[in-house]
Amino acid sequence: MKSEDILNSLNYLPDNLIEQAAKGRQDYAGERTKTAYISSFLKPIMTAACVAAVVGISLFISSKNSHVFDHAAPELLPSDTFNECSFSENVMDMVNSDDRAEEDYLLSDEAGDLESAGTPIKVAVTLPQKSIAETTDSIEAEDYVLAFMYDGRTYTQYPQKFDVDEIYDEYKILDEKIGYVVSDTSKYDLPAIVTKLGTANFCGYVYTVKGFSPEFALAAKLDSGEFYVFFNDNGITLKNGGDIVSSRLNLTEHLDDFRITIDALSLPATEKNTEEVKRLLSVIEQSPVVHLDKQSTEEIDCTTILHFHLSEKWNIKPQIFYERLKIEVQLLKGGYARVMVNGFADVYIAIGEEALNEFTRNLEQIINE
Amino acid sequence: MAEGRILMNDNDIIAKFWNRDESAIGDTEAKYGNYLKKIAYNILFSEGDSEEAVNDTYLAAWNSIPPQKPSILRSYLSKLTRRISIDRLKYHHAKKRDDSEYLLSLDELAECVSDNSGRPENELDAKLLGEAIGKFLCTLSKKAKNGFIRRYFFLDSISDTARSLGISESELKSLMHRTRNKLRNYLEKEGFIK
Repeated sequence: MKSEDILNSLNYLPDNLIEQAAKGRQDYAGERTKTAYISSFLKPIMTAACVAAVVGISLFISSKNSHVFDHAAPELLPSDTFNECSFSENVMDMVNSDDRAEEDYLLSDEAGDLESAGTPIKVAVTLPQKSIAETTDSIEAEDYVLAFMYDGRTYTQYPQKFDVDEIYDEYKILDEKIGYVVSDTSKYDLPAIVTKLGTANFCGYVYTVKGFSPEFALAAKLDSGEFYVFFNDNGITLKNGGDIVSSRLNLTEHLDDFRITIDALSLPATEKNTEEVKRLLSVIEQSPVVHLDKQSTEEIDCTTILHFHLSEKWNIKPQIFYERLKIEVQLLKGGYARVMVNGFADVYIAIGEEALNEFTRNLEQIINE
Repeated sequence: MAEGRILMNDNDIIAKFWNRDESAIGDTEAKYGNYLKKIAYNILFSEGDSEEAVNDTYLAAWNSIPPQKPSILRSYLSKLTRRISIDRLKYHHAKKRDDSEYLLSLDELAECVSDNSGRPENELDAKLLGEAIGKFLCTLSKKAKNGFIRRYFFLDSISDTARSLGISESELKSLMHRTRNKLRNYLEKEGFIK
């Protein structure tokens, strides 16, 4: 057999495989030939023009956002997971996407609505710092952690790929397209774990994510067609964090299943305990999101936080699906519920000790019956 | 692309082919002309030859639809363009354009094959091999799968493929090297090569 035979046999690949690979491919013949025709002396001029545009846009965004960051409390500054320099450099890799020839059938609005990135933060919620190492299990050996900078912050890839069509059809988490990003990880000071796993550059459109501050989460649809959510994973700000758990999600209605583990006892959902869990969720939806700022987290060291968690005795993991988003709720001593969306959103809700105690008491009663 | 032409959906274009409406060719050109030209250019590395290959594609489509009724018109046309361009390259082989992605790909895939094993003797053998490779590709990650198809079906250059996947060229080369090794093992296991 010759390599020619393999190449020729690829003509018999299933159409769907070819079609999937064709998505996101640079399929405009003109692009390559145009590139080839660009005289070398034009390249520095074009580069300079791009740099000027990037600087201009950066200054524009900075001036637009200055009041936002003024309001951002000191606790919004990144902690030691990322280098603080990357936060303050105000480097932005965005370029205007108007010149993109790619047919973007998913998008109806015009690219480059940069002003949307400066939406003031109404409710700031401090998220607990997460270790990237804890969430990299699903990364395949040949995959790489992606990262890009936006408005001076480094966003790293949440290690779960989403199919773009799925996102649009089912997740619907994208908000506004805010521009086009050209990642160059050589410029970033990435955490050791990311560096160890390997990084890769990419190009793609960047979007805000519904319910999240652009300071915390952004999404990017890569030119390759893949879609990722990226986080400025520094335990920082969440815009309208309450949106995640408010009536918008309607946790009670979307409760799908749950299990309760108490010590070695594992309980499936029953009619009675489902009622209790729904009641609890209803309380969660009506309770305020708590701002656990740096000061309060400093008061509690890590071991205390772990001790705080009821999971030593109570392990209640409702499986709630909202438009295919998996939502988990954990109960914390002191009257808090921690709500996580697909494992990446962490919000603390102050449900109060009374509600928490009532729930555990009623549940114990059901178990004893 | 023809200026001002409204892009038709594929079903309507196919219906025109079936009704022997010659405007089907213009509609196909308006919608997929550049797309097909890119495929041809990757193989032939010549503007003129690519245009001719694409024109031959329209003719081949006209002659084959009907009786064919492609489920995915774009993939169907891609295959026609690819086959026509490769044939054209072989015909002009005396000129040997070393910069053709087809020829570069041949070198890369050489590590997947063995001189000791027989060659596909007919279209059926080639089809079986293609189907086996299709099954193999389904076992890969999305990135490896799309990278392989973009590089070896569409014959996109290393730089274009890497850029479209969002990885560096060296990362792509490494990924493709691993994939080719896996493919070789797979083809050995399936009895295609010894």
